Amino acid sequence: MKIIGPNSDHSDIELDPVKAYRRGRVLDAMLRSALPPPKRGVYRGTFEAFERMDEARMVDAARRLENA
Amino acid sequence: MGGQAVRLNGFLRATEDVGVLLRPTRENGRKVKKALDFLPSSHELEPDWFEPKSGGPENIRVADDLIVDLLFVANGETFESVQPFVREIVVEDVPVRVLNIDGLLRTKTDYREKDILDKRVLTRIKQRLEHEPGEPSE
Repeated sequence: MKIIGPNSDHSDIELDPVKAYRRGRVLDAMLRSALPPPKRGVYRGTFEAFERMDEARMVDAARRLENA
Repeated sequence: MGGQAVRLNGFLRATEDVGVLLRPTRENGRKVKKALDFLPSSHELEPDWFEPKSGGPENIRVADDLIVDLLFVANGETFESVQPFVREIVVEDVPVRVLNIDGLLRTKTDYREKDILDKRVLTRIKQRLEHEPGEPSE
């Protein structure tokens, strides 16, 4: 994917790991600000169970945006 | 492995967690608990949980300021099976052991939407690197 226009230098491909790490941290901060915080603690389970937990938070975030 | 490793291999996407594939041993449990000591939730970790169980591997998640997924198997791949695909990358003076693209492709499923997208983009990057060797960045 390429973003054209004023931000045309942006791409979702970044082959320099250090740049990728730094840009990724910015993206992560944006994602965190959009999602409800996770319920803290230690969990044991299947990877699928963790996936369901993540999806539930995504749905919760989508509902909050929908109702905003 | 996971989103952080995908990113270090070229596909810039957001991720919420750190995925670690490790050998299931009690000793690793002790090491992980010590390494994650800065996260209060990690104090609940029990090294015994890291020992293999007959009922199949059970993964562990530490959810705190960071979410850390501690996996013993990823799409059938284990710590041992992915060793040929481990590369070391130095990020801000810190050596990080991550899977290379071939290793990541093995750990991604064919049914998770996130995995399917990762596989598609990583495959594209791999093809590009094969055709344009030596190019440092986009």
